[in-house]
Amino acid sequence: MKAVWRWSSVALVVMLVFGVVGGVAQIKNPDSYIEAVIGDLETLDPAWHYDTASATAIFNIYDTLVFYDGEAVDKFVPQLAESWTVSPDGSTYTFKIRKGVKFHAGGDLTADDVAYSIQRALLQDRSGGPIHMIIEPILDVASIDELAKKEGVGDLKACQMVLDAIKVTAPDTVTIKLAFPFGPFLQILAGSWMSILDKEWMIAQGDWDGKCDNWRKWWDPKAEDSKIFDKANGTGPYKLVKWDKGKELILERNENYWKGPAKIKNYIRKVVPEWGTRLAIFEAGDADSIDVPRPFVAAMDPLVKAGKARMHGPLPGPIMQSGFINFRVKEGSAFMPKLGGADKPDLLNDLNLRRALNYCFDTPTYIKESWVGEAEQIGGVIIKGRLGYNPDQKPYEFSLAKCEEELKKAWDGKVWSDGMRIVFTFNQGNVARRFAAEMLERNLEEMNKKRPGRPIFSVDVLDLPWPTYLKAMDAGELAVFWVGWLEDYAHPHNWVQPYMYRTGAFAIGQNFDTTKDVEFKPVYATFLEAKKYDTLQDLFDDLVVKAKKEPDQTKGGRAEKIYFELNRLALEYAINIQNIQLQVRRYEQVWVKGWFYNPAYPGTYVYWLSKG
Amino acid sequence: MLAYIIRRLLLLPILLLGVTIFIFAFFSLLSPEMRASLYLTDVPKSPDAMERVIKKYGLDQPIHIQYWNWLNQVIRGNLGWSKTAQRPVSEALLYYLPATLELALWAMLPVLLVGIWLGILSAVHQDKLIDHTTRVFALVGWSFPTFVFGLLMLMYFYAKLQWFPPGQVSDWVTREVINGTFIRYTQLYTIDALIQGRFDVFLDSLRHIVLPVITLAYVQWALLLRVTRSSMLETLRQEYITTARAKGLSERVVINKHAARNAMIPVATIGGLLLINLLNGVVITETVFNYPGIGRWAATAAVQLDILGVLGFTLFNGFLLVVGNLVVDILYALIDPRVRLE
Amino acid sequence: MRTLNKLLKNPLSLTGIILVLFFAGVAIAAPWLAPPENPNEPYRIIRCGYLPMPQPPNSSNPLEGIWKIITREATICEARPFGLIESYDIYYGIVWGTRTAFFVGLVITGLNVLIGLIVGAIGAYFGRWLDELLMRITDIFLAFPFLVAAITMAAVLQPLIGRGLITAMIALIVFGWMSYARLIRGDILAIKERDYVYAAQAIGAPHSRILLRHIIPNAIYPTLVVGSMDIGSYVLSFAALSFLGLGAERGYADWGQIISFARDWIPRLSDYWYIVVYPGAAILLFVLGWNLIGDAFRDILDPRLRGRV
Repeated sequence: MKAVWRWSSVALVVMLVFGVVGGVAQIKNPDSYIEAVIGDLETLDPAWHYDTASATAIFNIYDTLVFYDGEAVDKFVPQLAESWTVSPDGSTYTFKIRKGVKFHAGGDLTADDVAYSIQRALLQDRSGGPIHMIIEPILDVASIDELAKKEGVGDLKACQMVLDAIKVTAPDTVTIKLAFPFGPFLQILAGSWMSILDKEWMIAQGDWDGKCDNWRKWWDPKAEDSKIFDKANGTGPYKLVKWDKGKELILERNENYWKGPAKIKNYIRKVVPEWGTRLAIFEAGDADSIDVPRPFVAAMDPLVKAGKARMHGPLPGPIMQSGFINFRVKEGSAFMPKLGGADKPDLLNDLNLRRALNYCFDTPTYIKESWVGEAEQIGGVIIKGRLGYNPDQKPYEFSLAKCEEELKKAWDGKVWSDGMRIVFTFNQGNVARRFAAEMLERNLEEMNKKRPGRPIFSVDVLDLPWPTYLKAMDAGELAVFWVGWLEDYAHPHNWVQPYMYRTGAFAIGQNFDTTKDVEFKPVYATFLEAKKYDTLQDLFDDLVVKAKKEPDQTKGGRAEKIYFELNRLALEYAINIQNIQLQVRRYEQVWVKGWFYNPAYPGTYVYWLSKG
Repeated sequence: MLAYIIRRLLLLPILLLGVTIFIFAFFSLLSPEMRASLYLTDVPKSPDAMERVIKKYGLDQPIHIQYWNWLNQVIRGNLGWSKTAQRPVSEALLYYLPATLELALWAMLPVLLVGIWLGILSAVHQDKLIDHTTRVFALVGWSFPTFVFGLLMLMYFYAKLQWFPPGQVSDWVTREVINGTFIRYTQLYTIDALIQGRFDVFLDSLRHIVLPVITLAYVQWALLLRVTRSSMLETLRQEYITTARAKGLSERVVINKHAARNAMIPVATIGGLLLINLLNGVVITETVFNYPGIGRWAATAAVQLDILGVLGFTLFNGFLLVVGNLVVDILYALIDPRVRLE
Repeated sequence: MRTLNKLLKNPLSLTGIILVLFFAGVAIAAPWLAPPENPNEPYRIIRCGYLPMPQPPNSSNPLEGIWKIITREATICEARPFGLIESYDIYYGIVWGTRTAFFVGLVITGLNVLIGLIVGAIGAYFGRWLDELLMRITDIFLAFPFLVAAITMAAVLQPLIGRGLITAMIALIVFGWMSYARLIRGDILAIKERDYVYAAQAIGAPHSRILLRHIIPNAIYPTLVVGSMDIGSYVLSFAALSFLGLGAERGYADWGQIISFARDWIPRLSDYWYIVVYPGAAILLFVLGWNLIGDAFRDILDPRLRGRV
């Protein structure tokens, strides 16, 4: 009996050792590309998703009409559309659909599928989703519900308008009619939300039947109620094998991909929220790339030096981080600014004070310490690399002297004599934003030393848990808040709209209408007339709309000039505290080949990659 | 006995009702916008997003209506959808529980074996160096933050030596499950592997389970050691032990045959409590080792204010506790004739 | 007195007492050992710059640095005897964190014991339906899994009253008193049948007097034992809550929080050993100290504790 035990244990040890030794191979998992990421996808439904994790999965599974040309974000190559034309007035797009393309489940791609996919997206329009970007140029509304609730429209007519705008007009031809010429339309079509679905297969799954009689049945579903929440049938280079929610996503090469099959057979995304564990997986070679949050790049660099990892970058990211200023804080807010001890909701409606906040922000140190030098100050709200970025527009430099000067002028000297209180807020857990807030706090409180005996400048820095932050932002209660914006699509409209337009994600919480009687004198866009506007918001709105509808979207053209104006105004009115464009890095194993940077990609496009 | 069992079980629905009302009332302190944060994970990009989300999920309805709706569904067997698990709550419980169960069951082995052995050792050599050393050893485990211990082990044994990886099984095993060449009857990989005679899968899942098990076990040793030790000490003082020694039996026989057996009575009953303890204590261990268990899910649901997930987990836990306590009490009564159930 | 003697003779409990006294000394001397930047906010850990990765101590001998700080020869940021984590000075955090540890441990345990005492004593003494009701309420709270319940409570309270010490403490108190209630109830049930209690009742003493004068003082010992061990455990619970983002405010001097910062740097532990060793040692020794005292205490009162978990 005892001998059996002894030999079994030896066998056990031997097997363990072999298992271990066998595992230390050259290129691990040669037929799979494995990523270890922080968070899971929300859904596989292209029209529903808005987060980058879902977008990454979706754009590997599905194709869109057009795709980005290599590394460019404003040049497009045919994908499911073989060719296309744009009408001279810029508001009608006609696409010739490619023939001979098959869906993963076997169906054939037809023009009907294309029209269906886009119509379905507009009619689904889930709350908080991406459709507001697409429905705006097509029907000039913010949501399908808004359209249906308009005077004299109703559900049936609204649906018919959608079907009218996106039509199959000839065999293999789809025409899309816009409400106005819209510069970024191709960018939006290249986005993962506009993935093309198989109409017959969708109907078989129980999704919208393509008719207008009861489209509301599929309108604004909860994530789990979408029929393709966890199913996928696309034409793309990878097809869905399994989505083990919260754990991993497994995709497999589509052998019949119309461009030719991908080089790597499997694409696996593993959800590993813990950084330490992700790093361990990378070091063991069991992941080909991992999410590396900014503070931890120092842990990856030794690996790069030792030749055990490769780093791409720093690359200009489509991300900007800004401090947003609320010109008029809501009554009863817990973050109410004070002037000389008394509540002053519109404390920040003073240009001098806002300028002071910009001058007092030690941007160079911030970039050096928080971002390891990998970020750039932008003068204005449009990032580098986009149409409308103006290199001559210089952002506010760091100058305590100028800060002091502006503070002394603020509210006709009352700020300097009576003191003030401001609350800086940001979302809990974001280290860089916390640094930003604390740095500014420090410099402002330093000013107290220069005004002894007077009531102090008091700055509170609060990191709020996400639920509180969301609620306060929604209610307009925040005074100064730091947030980042990740581009939805690569066009300046996706910067000026959230930052400056009345219903933009940030502008809506900034109350620019507090600044009244604004005069506009064009500097770049001299074809525009000088005008007086009731409020600053009206001025911004007018320019944003003019720019988006301007047919001439070329470099040096009229749209560019209008965007220059918007940038200039954003800076002159100091609507933000230091806009900082972040640079990104990518780390991968040395055996990964073929990766290149396109800031419009939501994640890795595995089709281009190979291992070995 | 039967009446006793029935009486105890009758308390279950009252208990669960009380527990869930408490949770609901508590969550109602949050405004609808705060509760919407579960569904809006980024800055709302269109102005009506918040309002529509609140309406869609009924977050602004009066709390007793929300509770009533929920209760109605629960009676029909529908525990709702957990956003953090991305699946129905009942499915989430069934999905995550086996992993934790496997972990806890395997952890029981070293906990019991080593804990009892150390406890007996300590008691037999009371107040000598061995006693002090083992007690300090166990207490150190209890005094150390779990995640530090876990991460240190992970760094050394995985990142450096590549012996014991995180996660539950390797990719090739997952592949086999998808392809159908390996069937998960019980959802516990180790048991399923033995059932199907797949020694390779068995080994693989063992490899993944070693580190979390040690991490879990180290914390529990102190508890088991203490109980065993004091029970053993008490037993050793009994008259029948003195008699056995007087009869001339060897010390070894005295300890192993007479003392230990009787000392195990309270230990056996703690066994049940220990299991429940383990099931509750896995939160951090599962997070560090990326183990897809119920503790990690429950913590995630709590942090992200996924009320349906929290309710589901609490119902399950409440059920487990009542039934578990009942079983333990019955066992206690069966084993120890001196105990009588009131 | 006899008990005290026994405690001092036992080497384990003696070690425990020494450890706890050491920490008490550090806590009392905190303003002198680590002078705060802003005397109104001493619990805000001093920040030296904004670099996210840990910075090593300035000299290989931490005592040197500590001495310099005490004699005011160098500022905390210059000396940084234990290094920096996320630019927070670890030494400062540990010194002031000692006060937090005592505060947290004593207050939570104290309130838990108090609540448990009230619930358990009233139930046990008056019996019948009151006892049933209180025990059912206790059961309801016990049905919650401790850590997850504390997490849920902290997560819900955070948006309402902000993140901080108080939020986490409330969460731990609300779900911590039950075992004390049960313990005390059991002990009182045993005692209330004693002769001296009957005697007091016979001469017409009011209930409150009987409870406070006769019953509770005799029933309290096992509770004190469990309590002393729990003091240390709340520091660990705080570390767990910080690990999940629910502990004290960021930058507050709390050991659990300091060590939770370390979690992301553990892969490079050979370079950053100090971010785990110092706060880890503090937590370990503090908790160990209380555990040793409690364990020895338990030993001394052994017969009454068998079977209590």
